Amino acid sequence: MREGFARAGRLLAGLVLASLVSGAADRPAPFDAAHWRAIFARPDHTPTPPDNPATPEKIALGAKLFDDTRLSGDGMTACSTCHQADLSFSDGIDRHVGHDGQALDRRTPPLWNLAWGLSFFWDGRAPSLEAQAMAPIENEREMAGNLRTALQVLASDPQMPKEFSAAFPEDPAVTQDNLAKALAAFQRTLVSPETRFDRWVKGDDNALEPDELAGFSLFVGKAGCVACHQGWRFTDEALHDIGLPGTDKGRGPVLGVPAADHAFKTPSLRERVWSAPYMHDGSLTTFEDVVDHYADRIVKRPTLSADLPKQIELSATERAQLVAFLNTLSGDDPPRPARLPAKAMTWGASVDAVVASTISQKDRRFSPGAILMKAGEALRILNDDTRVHNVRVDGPAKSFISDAQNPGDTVNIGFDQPGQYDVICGIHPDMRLSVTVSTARAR
Amino acid sequence: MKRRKIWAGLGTAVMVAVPAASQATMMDVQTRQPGVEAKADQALLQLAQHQGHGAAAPAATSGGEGDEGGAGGAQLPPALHLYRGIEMIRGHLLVGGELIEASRWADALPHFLHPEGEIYASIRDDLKTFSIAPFQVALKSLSQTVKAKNKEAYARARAALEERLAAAETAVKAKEENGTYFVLETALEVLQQAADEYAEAVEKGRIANVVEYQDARGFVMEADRLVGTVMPAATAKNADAAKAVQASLADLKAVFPSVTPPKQAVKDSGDFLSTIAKFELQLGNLR
Repeated sequence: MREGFARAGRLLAGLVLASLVSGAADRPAPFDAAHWRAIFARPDHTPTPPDNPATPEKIALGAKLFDDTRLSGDGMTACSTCHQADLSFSDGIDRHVGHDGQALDRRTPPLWNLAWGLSFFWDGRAPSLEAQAMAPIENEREMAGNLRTALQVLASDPQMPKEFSAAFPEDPAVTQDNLAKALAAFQRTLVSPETRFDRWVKGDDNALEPDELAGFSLFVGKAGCVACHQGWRFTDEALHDIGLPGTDKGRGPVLGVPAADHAFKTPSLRERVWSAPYMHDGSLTTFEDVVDHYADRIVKRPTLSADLPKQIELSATERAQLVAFLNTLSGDDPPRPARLPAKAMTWGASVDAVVASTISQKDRRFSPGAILMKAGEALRILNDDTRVHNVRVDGPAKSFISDAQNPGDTVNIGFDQPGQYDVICGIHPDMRLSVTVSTARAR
Repeated sequence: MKRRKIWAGLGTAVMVAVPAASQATMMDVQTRQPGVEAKADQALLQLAQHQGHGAAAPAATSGGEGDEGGAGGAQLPPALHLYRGIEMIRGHLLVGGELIEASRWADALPHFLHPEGEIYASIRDDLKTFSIAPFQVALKSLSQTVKAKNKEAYARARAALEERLAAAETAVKAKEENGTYFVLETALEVLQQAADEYAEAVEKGRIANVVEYQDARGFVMEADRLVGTVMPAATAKNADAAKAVQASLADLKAVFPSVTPPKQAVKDSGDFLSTIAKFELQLGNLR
């Protein structure tokens, strides 16, 4: 699964970054509608992991559990208490009040299009939707539940075991694993519907007003928004410090890398009309505030993302055009999830793997993206990019975490045991490198 | 049945389909003004025909139920048309807020949907004229919080929208030389829309349409609040006229004893309009 997502992410990142390199970021270039239409085209299916395929029974169970207050400690809080369908699966406030009566640290994120996510929570600490789904249940400030107790309660319900059995015929039991899978399967169905922007992407030149199109041209050009808000979901899945005031360190403590302090996941821009306020702390009330932040209010500090434009000078008209464009990424009516067929991502791990021992990170991409090595060899990863990276290997056979890898730094990793390893960047999770280590004879 | 006022000339407002008795009452009111005499040679004709602010606004988009943003204000000058729209939105918010305070979310929802559905489209071009940032998103966002019955989110979204409305109000008032009069004539426009709503609400002496009653209540209460902001200045200009304006508003407010309508209408729609005419007749003295 991870490899499948990794390849999809690399492909997308490659396309987008190639476009940036080709001229949008640093120098004025004529707006190329055909190019951007290809970049922002919607997918025709929802990816699902091979170990948790979507079935109607599982999705229905997940939807039911999403609304089930029995998962919480006080029996009054469900996932949907904060992730309200009418509010784009968020809650419309800056920070929800927790069980201790104090505002939570971060804003309730909307749940659109998480099927394509690579990491979860604002600080990206959960590697899968399945893992993410369990954390709020036991968080003492959120649902304050106890999974063991909750599972017992569900199992004692006359109906629930039947529904778990229907959803998981291969493992017909009320278990934490199945609970997580059902919740994740439901959340993967929350695909944002088509909007006027999508109609423009499909070729309808009249779908956008002139100001909206001008806003899009700014978005992918002068304003540089596309550096992070990439692809049809308008997120690069990476974690950036965008210069908001505040003491929340975000990704830094998760990685143990101070260079990633204040970095948070790039949020999707889909259906955001319906999910104000904005940013991880809900501190910005309107799209206008968001645009003004990037133009005028960025807090300067060493951890600022390299993908932030150095300086954006936007006139009042240009700001209004950007806002007009952002509006086109939301439906005119309150959104309902789009129906999109699910498809398990089962691409092979080493179809295009090549023999290599040195990896480039230029343009936020491991290159080559899949390599073959022999046990005992060392891998050299050179940061020839303009951004700080953080190389990680997380697996049963090997665990490795680099410190902040500044531009010019090299990270060396030795692989003593044959096997399959996934190397990622902790700051840019769409950077994935597949390493196949074999014995000399096997190679 | 949609009733529209036809302004036939100085001091003679008649309303199609209004009972004859009410018309008579109204005309009587307008020809026998107690207290302060209207300065008939001044602004009344202009006011009645809405021609006092130069070029008329572009034709407004026809609204839906109630047609609040549509034909009722289509011929107004842009500034007055826009301020009227802002105030009507506030009127909706006012009565919607009352219903939310009473935990009547479902009843409140129409009053949060109407501003975007019926008013905003009609002022969109005016906003451009005055270089005011669009706020349709804020309207949508607010109505969703009501749909979600989420009081915290509602409070946040409501505050955000009110901020936008205040900014729009500041912008539209900035170019008005006679701010007091501008406010008063805007209040009159809102009251006239209230009359339309009230006429829709009343049927055979009873309140047959609760939503229209509440619309009218919101508009009247908002007009009262608005007039209150200029009352010191108005009193300085003409204390008697200002007092008469307040009396008219008090009379109108008494038509709406609560957000839940009384079983019997306090006034019929003709009497309601007559009271607005009293208000209008004083404006010439406050110019």
